[in-house]
Formats: sequence, C-alpha cells, structure tokens
Amino acid sequence: MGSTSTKIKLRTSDQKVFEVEKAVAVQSQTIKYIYENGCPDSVIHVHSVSGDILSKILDYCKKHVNSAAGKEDISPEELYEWDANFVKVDQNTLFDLILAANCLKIESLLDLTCQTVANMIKGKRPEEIRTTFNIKNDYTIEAEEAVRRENKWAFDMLGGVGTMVIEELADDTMSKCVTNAKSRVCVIAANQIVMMRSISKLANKKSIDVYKQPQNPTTPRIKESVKQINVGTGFIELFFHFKCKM
Amino acid sequence: MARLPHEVTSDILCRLSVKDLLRFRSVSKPWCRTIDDPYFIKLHLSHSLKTITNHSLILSHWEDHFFSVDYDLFETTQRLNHPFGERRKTLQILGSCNGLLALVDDKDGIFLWNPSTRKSQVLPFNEIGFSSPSSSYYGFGYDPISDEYKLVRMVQSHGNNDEYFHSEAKVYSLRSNCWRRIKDVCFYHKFSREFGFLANNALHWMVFKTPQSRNQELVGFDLGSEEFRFLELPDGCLDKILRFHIKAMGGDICLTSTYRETNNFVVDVWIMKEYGVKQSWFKLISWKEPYFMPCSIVALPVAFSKDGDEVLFFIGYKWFNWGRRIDSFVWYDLGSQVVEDAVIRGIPTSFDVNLYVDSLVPLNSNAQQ
Repeated sequence: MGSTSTKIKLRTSDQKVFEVEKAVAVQSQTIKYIYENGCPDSVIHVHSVSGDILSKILDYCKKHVNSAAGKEDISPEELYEWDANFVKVDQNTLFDLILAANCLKIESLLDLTCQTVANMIKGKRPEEIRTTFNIKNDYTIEAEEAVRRENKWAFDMLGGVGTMVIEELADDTMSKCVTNAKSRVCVIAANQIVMMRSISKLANKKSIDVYKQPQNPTTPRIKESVKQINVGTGFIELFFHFKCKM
Repeated sequence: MARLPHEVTSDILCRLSVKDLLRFRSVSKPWCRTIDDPYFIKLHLSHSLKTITNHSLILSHWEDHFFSVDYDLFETTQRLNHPFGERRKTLQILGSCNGLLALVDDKDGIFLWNPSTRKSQVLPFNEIGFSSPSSSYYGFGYDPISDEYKLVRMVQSHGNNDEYFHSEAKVYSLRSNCWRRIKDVCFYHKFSREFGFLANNALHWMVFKTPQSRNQELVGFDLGSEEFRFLELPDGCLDKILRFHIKAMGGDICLTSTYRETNNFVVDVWIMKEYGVKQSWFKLISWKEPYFMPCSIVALPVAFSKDGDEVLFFIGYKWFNWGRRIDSFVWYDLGSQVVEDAVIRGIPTSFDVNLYVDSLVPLNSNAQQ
C-alpha cells in the first residue's frame, strides 16, 4: 500500500471504532505487528483499552508523529510542555494510560507516564505511598519496624550539615515570605520553609535565628540551631544541622 | 499500583533515588522483594548509567576525607562519613565502579564501601610471598561475563641493578570473598603505588615493558579472560610533555598531555574511540592558555556534561612560593571552546576526584564488616 493516507481501523474493549492514519497507529509496536502480519483491511481489536483512553493515546501519537514529520510547527520545548500537560490527569486515568501504553508497546508514552508516577512518589513516606496507590501493608508491626531499622537514615529528611545559599536578596525573595512582614525573608528549600530575621540588620549580626515552619501552619515554629554564619555582601550562607523523621 | 504488572512497577521504581528505594522497602513485602532483587538492582543501575542520573563527584581530601557533589545540582558539597574509624586518615579511593568504592590505607588494608546503602566490608588480608614490596598497583572493576566484582593487586619488589626481582599478582572476587593468584605479569612498575582505571571491562595501568625502558606503555587486564594486553597510544604523545594523565571518560580511554608551546600551556585531550584500535585515537580538545609563573597548573578532564556538549575539568593550582594548592572545576565547551568556572560551595582546597553513581549493589554479606 505505502500511501501516507492509509487508514487503520481499531476497535476498543467497549466496541468503539477509531479510524486512524497508519503512521499514527504504528507508533504502537503491537498494532504495527498485527497490521504487518495480518490482513490489512480488517479491524484490529485492542481488547484491553477503552475508547476514552485510546482516544487520548491517539492524540498523543498524532502529536508526536506530526511534530517529528515537521507537519506541525512545534519546538522541542513546546512538545515537552504539551507532554507535561498531557499527563495532568487524575490518577485512574494515568494508570489506565500506563497499562495501555505497556500493552500497546508505545515506548515514549510509557516512559513519559512512568516518569510522571516516579516524580509523584519521590521523597514520600511509605504510608503516603500505600494510601495513594491502595497498597496493602502486609507487614506485621514488628517486621515493619525491623525493615525500617535496617535503613533508619533513609527516613531522615535532611541528614547532616546542609548548606543553603540565598542569592540576590531582592524584593522578590521577600515576596515568598509566609508572614508577609517586610523585615523577614522566607526561603523555600527542599520542602522546608526556613525563615530568617531582619535582612537589614544581618550585616551587623554574629548570629541569627533560624526558624523552621512546619507544613501545618497551626503548629508553632521550631527554632533550629545554627552552626555557623558567613554574612557577606550579596549573599548569605547558612550552615545548619537538622534532622526530622519522615 | 497494585494493578500494574510487575515490569511496569519496576520501570517506575528504577527511576527513583537509592534513598527513596531503601525507604520504600517498608511499603509492603512485594515491594521489598522487588527492591532487593538482583535483577532490579541491575535495572536501576543501568537506568542511572544510561540517563546520567544519581551521579555525583566524590572529592577526597587527605585530612578531611570525603565530600560528594551532586552531578545534577552541582552547587554544594555534602560530607560523606566513611565507616572505617577515626584512625584511618590515610584512606585513598583506588576505584569506583557501579556504586561501590574500593579504598586502601597506608598499610595496604583494602576496604569496599557503598556510600548510598551505607554498607561496607573489609577485604581479607592479602598475603605477599616476599618481604619489603616496593610497589603495589591496584585496580577495581566489574566483569559482566561472570557478573563479578574484582579487585586486582600487583606487587613488585626489586633491588638495584636487578639483584633480585619478585612479582606477584592476585585477584579478589567479591562473591567468593577470597584472593587468588593469577599469571605473573610481564611488565615492570617503577612507582610505589598506582591505581588503574576501568574501560571496556578491563583495568589499565601505565607500566614499563623492560626495566631499562624510558617510556611507559599502556597495559590492559581484561576482567573476564584475566589476560593482559598492551594498547598503543597516539604517536609522539609522550614527547616533550610536562604532564601526562590517562583514565576513562564516557566509557572510552582518555589521554591528557600537558606541554609548553612558546608562551602557552597546551592541554591536549585524546580519546580512543574504538577500544584497542590505534587509528581510532582522535584529539578531542587542544586547550591553550597563557603560561604564567610562579605556579604550576594541573588541568585534567573529569567527565562529560549530561548533554555531552561540555567537559568538566579539574584545575589544580600549586603555588611554588607558598606550597599551597587550590583546586577547582571548570566547564570547557566543546563547540565554542569557552571555559567557564563551575562554582561549588564548600569544596576543600585540595582534593582528588572520582566519579560515583548511587546504586543498590550489595557487598558480600558473609564477609567481615
């Protein structure tokens, strides 16, 4: 056949039929194999994928085929952003997309969706993972404690001495401030909110108070111990020690 | 997640950091089994290597010990506390492979350490068949054929005017946790201690073919076949040089020669694109800088940037007058040849640098911790 306007018919699990261009459909290695080894005119059944999901997947394939072929004027950055928006869906849909991409063997979509889930679970606590993904905790209390103890340090949020550098103390840095008081600066680093006192007085100070704001705004602030301060022009370096259990 | 097939769960998990994965062992028993599974550990490692994630630089300062710099963030250092005790102030990293560090102290005690999993091991004592060895050459690497981590130690002792000559080479295998003697080497060491580098699943050192040789040659020890072979360097690369350094970079053998040309320092970086093929040597970089006293400069390539467009160089300035050394990093852009400082806060003034990748690779649990 070879013509670029060849169409392939796909039937989903809920009996919806889609007619798509061959170039788009064969992004799926599974469909490609079936098409090349079967009768080209017949309808290909994609049993495990619903109409809604297939529709989304075909959008993805079409976008990528068109951008690669130059049919659509889209820069790599714009495509990257399109992909990022594509995966902004509810969790069930995301999982359905993963299952479909796995079954249809669409490598780039599987890569995108798996990376999205990986990004969602980075830095989370085991309890959060279980709740989010509905995983049964089959450990006994003792067994779970034992496993936790094997890698106790992995549960520290920030171990050891950390250096946080605040550069260019401009007005927009102040605008991140939680209290909105002009004299305080608030910097968000690695899920921690650290507040410092009075920038204008810092140059004359030998020590400053550093407060950690817990995620729950009603919990009182915790004052951290600060090991060493270097106050120079243009930036401040703080060396501080804190650990907190996840 | 419960309804995702196992290979998809593994695909997702292999993108996470070692710290996250060690924590997620307590999510459920199936997750723990997956994370501890040797197949998954290899999958995670190969993903890190392929996408250049979970990489860091390890800086060793002789007194202050080890610091790591994240290769993605590249901003600050984090102190690495080794588990070998306060007394061991003379630990040097002899090799870094797949997340395992091999270290040696001044008494030739050898240790293995995975800083990501915080597991460590002391190697069994390595008996030498003769007294007063004058040189020990080490190397550490992974053999994919036998799926085995091996450490090589070659010891030589010789008197003046070839009164006597003893040579012994041994290989340690991680899985069996023991040393075994290998075929004697057919070359000579002249330096007291050298650490080999890993390329193409072989360990390499610069050695002398005969005791009278003036020039060094590159020898490779294949970790699979355990055979030595010599590799040829580009013609004339060792002539009239101030400094010579050879290592692996981006998987290929990389040779750096520094020499003076009229008023300039020239740093030439050669890459052997095809392993063992002399004609495949090509000059990647020829970097000229004006030469100025009173200091000597060391410029050594460390690694490629993630996108491959730049090379990270280690720059060491040594001031003759005050004997002080100040080390730093710069990025050399391969296209524009522009050099840019890489600012990292908290680095020690002088250090050695090793590349490191976080991994779950285990040590031998039966060995001495």
